[in-house]
This record gives sequence, C-alpha cells and structure tokens, in this order.
Amino acid sequence: MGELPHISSGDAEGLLNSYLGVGYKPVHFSELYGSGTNKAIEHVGWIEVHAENYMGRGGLLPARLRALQETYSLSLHGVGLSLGSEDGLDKEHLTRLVELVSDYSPFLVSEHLAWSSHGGRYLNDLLPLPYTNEVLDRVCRHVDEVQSALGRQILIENPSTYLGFDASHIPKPTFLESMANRTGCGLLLDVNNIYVSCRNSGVNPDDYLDDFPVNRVVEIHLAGYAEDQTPEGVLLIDNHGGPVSPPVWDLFHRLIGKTGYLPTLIEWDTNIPDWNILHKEVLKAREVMSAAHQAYSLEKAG
Amino acid sequence: MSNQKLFFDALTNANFPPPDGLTETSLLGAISSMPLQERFNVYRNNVFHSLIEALKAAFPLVEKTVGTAGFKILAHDFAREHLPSNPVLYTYGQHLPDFLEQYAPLSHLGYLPDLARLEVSISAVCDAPDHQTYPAQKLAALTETEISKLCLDFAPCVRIQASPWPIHMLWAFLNDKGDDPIMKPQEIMVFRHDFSPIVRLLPPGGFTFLEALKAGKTLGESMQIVEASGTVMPPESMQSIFNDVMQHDLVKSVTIKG
Repeated sequence: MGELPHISSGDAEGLLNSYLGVGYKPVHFSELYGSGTNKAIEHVGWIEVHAENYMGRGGLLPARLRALQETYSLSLHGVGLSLGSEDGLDKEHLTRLVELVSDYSPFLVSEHLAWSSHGGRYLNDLLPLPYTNEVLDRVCRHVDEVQSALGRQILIENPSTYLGFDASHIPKPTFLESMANRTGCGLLLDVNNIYVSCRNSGVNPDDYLDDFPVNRVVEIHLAGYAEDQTPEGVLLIDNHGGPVSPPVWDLFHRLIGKTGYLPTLIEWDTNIPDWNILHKEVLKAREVMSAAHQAYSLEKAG
Repeated sequence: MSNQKLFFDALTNANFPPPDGLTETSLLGAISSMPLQERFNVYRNNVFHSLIEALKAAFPLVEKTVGTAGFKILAHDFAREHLPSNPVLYTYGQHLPDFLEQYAPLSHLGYLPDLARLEVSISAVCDAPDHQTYPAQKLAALTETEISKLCLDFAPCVRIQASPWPIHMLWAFLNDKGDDPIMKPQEIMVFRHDFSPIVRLLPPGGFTFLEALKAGKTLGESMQIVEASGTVMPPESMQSIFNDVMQHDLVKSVTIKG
C-alpha cells in the first residue's frame, strides 16, 4: 500500500477525513474541485475511479482527474483483469494497467476475485469462481503476475455472489486468506458484498465477518443494494444504486471495531445522486468509523 | 469443454439453462428459496444491461432518433452479436454503424448508420490521446510556394466524414440547433477543441482535401486531387479549412516536402 499523502498530521479530524473516500463520478467534479484546498469541509480525503475508464484516454476526463489529484489521493479500481480466467491474463490489458498506474501513481490499486473474459470476448460483470485448490493456484498465479508487472501490491475484492458451485470445498474467507498469504496481496473488503452474498446464500453475515481475515484488509467499500422480489423470494442485487443499508452500517461498525481506521469508500455507480446526497453517506461513514474506532482503541488499550 | 466456456455460452444465449455444477446452497448448507435460474439470470442481466448502458452513453443521438425502447432492443441485439473484445468500454460500439447497415428493423432510417458514425467520431475525438500542438504562427514566415509543399501530421482528435445524407443538418436538428434537414449530401470534420467536440460543415471537396492531407499529401497535391475529382473548391475554401485546422491546434507537426 502507498501512503495516504493528504493526512493532516497531528490533527485528529484531519486524520479521520483522510480515510474517507468517494467513488468519483465526472458529474461531481465541480463540487469536489470547488472545495479546493479546503477539503476538510467536505470530509473527503481520497477518490477512487474504475481504471478502465481512464486507460489510453485523453481529453476532459483525465484532465479533471489530474486536477482532483492536487487535492485528493487517488485509488485505481480495476474491473477487467479477469484474475480467475481459465484463459490466463490478457497481456494487452495488463499493459494498459501498468501504463495507467505509472501515469497516475495511485496510493491504492485493486481488482476482484472474479472472471469476466473468455475466448477474447469480455462480459462486463464479475463472474463467480468455485473455491477449489485448482482455482486458488490459478488466481495466485495471476495475482503474482500482476504485482510483478506493476512492481507493487494490489488489493483483491470479495465480489457479491448469487450462486455457488458444487465443486467449491474451501470457505471463501479461507480462500481469500490463503490467496493473501501466498501472494502478499491485500484485501479490499466490500461490506455490502458480504451482506448481499450472505443473505443470498443463507449465511449469517456476522459469522462470515468473524471468519474473515480482517488483518489482511487494506481498504473497505460501502454501497447500496437493490431487492429483486419474485414469487419465490427475495434476491439482493449489488447494484451500487442507493444509500448504504442499516445492516451494512452495522457490519461496518463491527469491522472497524476489529481493524481500527482503514481507507473506506462510498460507492454509488448507478442512479448517481446529487453530491449532497452522496456526501451525507460520507458523513455517515465518518460518524460510524469514529464511534467504532473509539471502541477499537479502548479494546487495544485494555 | 472448460467450465467457463459452458458458463459463458449459457450466459450469452438466452435460451440456454444454467450449466451443470451450480448450486443455491452455501458451504454451510443453508438454502435460500430463490431458484438457480433466477440467480443465474442476475449475471445475464448484469452483462447485457451494462452493455446497453455503455451504448446509450456513446450514441445519444441514435437513441433520440429511435426512442428509448427502440434503442434498448437495438443495443441488446448488437451486444449479443458483438460482445466487447476488451474491458475498455468507453470504446465499445465502434461496429454499431456497420451493424445498422444490415439491421432490418431500422432499415427505413437510411441515415442512421451515418449518424452512428458521427457519434463514433465524436466519442473518438473527445477521448483521443492528448498531443503536442504545432504553433500556427511558425508558418507566418513561409512563402506561398513553401506553403503549397506543406505536409501536416494531424492530431488524433480529428475525424472527417462524407455522407450521402445531410449529416450536419441532422446533427444540428437533433441537438435543437437547426431546422428540419433537407435531403442533400454533406461532409463534416469532427474535432476536439478546449475539451469539447466541434462538428464543422465542410465545403464541397473539403472531405477529399482533408483525406488527402491526412494521407500525407502536400497542400498543393491535395488541391490537385480535389480538382481531379471534378469538384470545384475555391482557394478561399481551402484557406478556410487550413486556418480552421491550424487555429484549433489540430496539427502535431509540419514538414516541407522536397
């Protein structure tokens, strides 16, 4: 992990703000840029963008991203490396990522435990993997390849899942921990994804979080989900299209109680709201993180 | 056959059932009531919904022409035949104009493929890599003969298009900037200036002139190619295009040939 370069040293408020991030959407440029050096008002220390939206691109979007980098730290979040692909990594795409990371020097680079490409065609979704030794070997090989090409650590996110595989025989937290131990990668823990996946598969999210290798977590994502109501029941859909739900805030509180402060991002990718609505989510994250961190500090002191 | 090939085939064929080996059950044995087919459909819907959204973002004028519902059907039909070849989705849809040429449900809108080509050009110039520009004032000292021998190395943010349709009028009309188009062929230059796309109507012969220049011909040779094509383009038209190109920083470098 790189440093959080915008930490206000010696200032508790500034320290807390430096951990709070938002998924940057071009529609919010004015509000974020307008805050200028007075970023403490906004309580936002960093922004994250999807790496693929900036690869090989010139013009307005990258110019604005560079302008924001003067105030905010930047995290690059990839969605297209297809780390679980049976085909192997797309070398051209890896080269694009290497160039992008070199151009923007982000403080975090992350990807997903998923696959999305096959036979030279790309499916724009994070498709599930069976948790087997064979898949663990394959993913670790690919993570090694990426970290070697980038010359730095990457973080791997636990995606939401809607189904399982008969072949799976390794619990997902164990799979993630083994991957982190073998490759040295960090974990990006998406709390909403835990809740969605657990609800969809009938697992208690608290139990899942207790099993999660939180000591390997470097970044946290928070987002909203949608409910797909059908005659057979409810399926939670990880659509990043609304506010963070109360049970996800509760899980986040429990998580920070275990880890202390960690860079935490509000993701809102569809039905993108006005900045003030998104900002309220940042303030809520700040409030929960602050309260949970106090509990964490007391426990550490005790 | 690989597991991911089976998953891929089932995902991209609406009539295929989920592949074998999937389950609703977690490792802890808990069972949710939602059937497997519904669960699998989440992935299928995610893939095609996101591709349709990417196409909507790239082709707002085509969508305005055919309507929201019509565009969704078109985009879905296109996505099924043309999945992206890589994850850089802001470039997705470059084959849509050619797809529209063969797309029977919208064949009555003969201008639609060229409108889509214009939108491909707009996206391409907006997103083209940034470039160093050649300062136009450096050309002030050149003689007329030297200018006629100039070759221009164009920046990547310039595209040209010749259409049998009133493409500039269509663009203006759909952007609420012009009257109803009247039927006539038009040629355009699309470029980026100050981060914004500009769609410039070219005089007759302008496309041929710029096409020759972009191919590496000198200004003089390009004028001769226009004349040979049978199009009458007055010198002031050529001058106007040349000035447009230089004043908007659309040239990376120049050389004087021979």
